[in-house]
Amino acid sequence: MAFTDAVVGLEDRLVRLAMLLSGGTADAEDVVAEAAARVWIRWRQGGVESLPAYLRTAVINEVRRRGRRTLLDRHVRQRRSAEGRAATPIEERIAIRETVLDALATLGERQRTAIVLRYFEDLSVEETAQLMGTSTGTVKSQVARGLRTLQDHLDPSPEHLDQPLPGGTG
Amino acid sequence: MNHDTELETELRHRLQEATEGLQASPGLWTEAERRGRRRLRQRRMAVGAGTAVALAAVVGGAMLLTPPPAIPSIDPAAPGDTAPPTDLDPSPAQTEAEAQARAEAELARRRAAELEAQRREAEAGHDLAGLEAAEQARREAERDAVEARRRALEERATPVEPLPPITGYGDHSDANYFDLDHYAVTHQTARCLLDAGFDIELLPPGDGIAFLDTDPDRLGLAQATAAACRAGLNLPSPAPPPSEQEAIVYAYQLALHQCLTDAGLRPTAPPSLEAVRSGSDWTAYDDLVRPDGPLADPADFDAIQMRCPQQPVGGFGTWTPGDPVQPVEQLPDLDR
Repeated sequence: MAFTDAVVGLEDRLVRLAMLLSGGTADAEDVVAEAAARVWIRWRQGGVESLPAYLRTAVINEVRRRGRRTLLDRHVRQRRSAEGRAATPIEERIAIRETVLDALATLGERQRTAIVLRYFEDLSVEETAQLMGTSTGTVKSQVARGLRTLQDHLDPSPEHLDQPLPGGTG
Repeated sequence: MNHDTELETELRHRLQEATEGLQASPGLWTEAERRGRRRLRQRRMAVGAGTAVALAAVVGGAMLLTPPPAIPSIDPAAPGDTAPPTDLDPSPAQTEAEAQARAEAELARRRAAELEAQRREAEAGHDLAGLEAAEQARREAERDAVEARRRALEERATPVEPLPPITGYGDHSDANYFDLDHYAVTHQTARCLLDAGFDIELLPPGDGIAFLDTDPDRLGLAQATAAACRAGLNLPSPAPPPSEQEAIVYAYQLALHQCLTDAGLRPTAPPSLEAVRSGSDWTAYDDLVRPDGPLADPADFDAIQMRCPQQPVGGFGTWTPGDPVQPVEQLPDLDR
């Protein structure tokens, strides 16, 4: 089976995971492409049992590898796009995303990873710990601290959650 | 329901909402495979990489040195038509993979032509930034085209029956894989292939072989002969280094990291030895061989390979942790 056939259907979820793990600081597609390139080499040699699991781990590692080096870029891009004109419906939709990404960007890399794996990937504490290469106790404390930080950045009942999305379903 | 649970529920909702509508590009997996192939070729004889990598280097070098005959042009596809063209060559593709590679080669060739037009336009308009960007993108597209043509030939190679070992070029039956001098093995294999009538040359820094004969009908025979030459050397079976030797491999990667840094590059910061032992596939070259990295140009890659070879000259049996990386001064002469 060709690689592109074996992984079909996984792409959207992985790109979304990459975006959240990086706090929106990295080109999510580039992250997935680079991670999948590494997996492809191993897959070609017959060393991959579960492609979804391998790809998810590779995406996590690739985000870690890139670190925070593009954090500044995103803030610069945001400022540029917001300067001097009214927001379009698409930009308003993006603004909802940016609110979450801004909140995630306030977390340290380990906390953000723990939060995203627990609440976006719906992994258990044990699964999260295994993927992060740490103990369940550490995951619990990272998640608890991350939640406390996010509480200050995410209004639990923002107005936009009760309103129809501008510009359709997005 | 306590406050944390409300927050957790809210967070799940927000994370899903924030990613709604975000979709990957249709070509994402093809791009990933393309990068994987490139990485495989560039990492070629890295320690523990195994026969598949060595073979990729053997085949891959040929097209870089001697491009194949030009593929006939075809009618432009309709806008938005992503189906691979099928009439790229007078002879039919033998496999689906070959047809796909041919299509990718043609699309890359077209992209390069368009970028060349953009480059000329930027040059005429004295747009220096545009000129530089177009030139860089054009070179990338041309490399993609060469790579895709090479893959097309590789997919087309006619398989041949394994040949009996060819002896008389060396004997490594007493060596263990970890201490093996891969440069010497490559040199011996190259001499064996020369004697068998193949037109070849060594790839920098001397750990890979390029076939200069691009006849696809000879490629299968070339691969079989290379395997017979290696079999005749009585090489030990490839094996990952035992744990006590992992530290030596790791130490060499640290020395390599320093070598690359001294050469003005910015390699990825090394992980801990424990991280490497628990499965990290880091090498000092990792981020440098990205498609948009500083070594994207094969000439630059070859030059730095000579200065900072991916494994010690003489093999790990001759290198002591703490020693600097020894450059390869020049490729050995294949003439006896």
